[in-house]
Amino acid sequence: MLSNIGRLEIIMLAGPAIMFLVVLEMVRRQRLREDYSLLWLATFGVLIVLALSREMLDTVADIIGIVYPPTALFVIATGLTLLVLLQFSAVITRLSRQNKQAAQRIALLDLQVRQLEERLRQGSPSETSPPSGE
Amino acid sequence: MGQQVATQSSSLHSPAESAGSLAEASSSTGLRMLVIIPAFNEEHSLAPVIEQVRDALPTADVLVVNDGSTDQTAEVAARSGALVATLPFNLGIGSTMQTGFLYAREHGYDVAFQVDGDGQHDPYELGELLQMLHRSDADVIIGSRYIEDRGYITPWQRRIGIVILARLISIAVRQRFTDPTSGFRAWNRQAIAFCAEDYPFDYPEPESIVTLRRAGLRLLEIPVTMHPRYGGQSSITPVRSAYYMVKVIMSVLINLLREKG
Repeated sequence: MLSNIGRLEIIMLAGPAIMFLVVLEMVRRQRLREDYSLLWLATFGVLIVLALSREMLDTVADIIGIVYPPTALFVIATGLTLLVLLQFSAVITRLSRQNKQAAQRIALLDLQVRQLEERLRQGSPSETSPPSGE
Repeated sequence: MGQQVATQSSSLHSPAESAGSLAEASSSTGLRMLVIIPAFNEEHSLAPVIEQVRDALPTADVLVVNDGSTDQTAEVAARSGALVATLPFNLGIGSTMQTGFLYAREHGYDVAFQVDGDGQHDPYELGELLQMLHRSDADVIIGSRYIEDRGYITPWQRRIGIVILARLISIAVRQRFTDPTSGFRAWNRQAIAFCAEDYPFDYPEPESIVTLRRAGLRLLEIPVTMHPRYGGQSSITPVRSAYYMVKVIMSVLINLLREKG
């Protein structure tokens, strides 16, 4: 019994602590942007604090209404993970909009380049005004 | 059946008159018109569509927006004498049309039309859209299959979906619409400018009725004839229709929660 709880507590502390360092290292190597790392660091930070302080975990579990306090850790971890995922969806939404606008710009510029090439090939631009020119 | 034949032959007669009067009308007013044809893998149906559009509206420019097709769509369009803007990858019909609106706005067109590349729309009816745009005070004219029965047969499952959408949108914008999924439309300058800025990503037709109305633009439906497609496949499969309904209903409702533009 005792050894079981001890092992769980070690894992509960070591897991988030290692992940916290991994995130910091990724930011240092510029594999992860600072702004996206914040939510991760907060997530692992909270888990570390709760794993260190049984009192705090008990209080939090009591507030949520969880009888067996370590379960509160999972609940909180799940909640924070959902937050990170929501942030991802928001970022993807923004990226896809920017991606769309870039693709549209490429299509229109590509058309413009071909029109200009055509005009050059036909000789001086003053000769005839093209039908779809400005 | 007899009725279908009759409508088809009448639409074969009308082009000469309507094209003639339109050519006069547009050249006298100096209207600059752009027909936008969104196309995704339409190499088999595109050439006759472009030909009919050029025949129906000789003074209009034709822009095919190629939505990252993997077939010869771009080549077919260019050979038919259309302007071709090719998206580097598939973006969906909404963003494809928006590319056309961006082009129309940048080049100062007065009127933009949408004609689908699959042959469903009758280019000879573009003239009717244009005339209504002139005659009414509307900013957008929508061609509807369901105002008059012209023999267009819709599978009942799809009909139910369209009726539900039509009701919902009619209630949402307090104006009756019968065919909110129709892409056969004409836009004036104001509407072009709005759609260049703000046009839905996918399944844009029903949703754009709501966004346009809420931006204070006026829309008007007129009866048109539609044909079965020449080739290619409808992008709407059973699973997608369900997604279509849910997505469109949700975006209509969300639009109502936004502040009026």
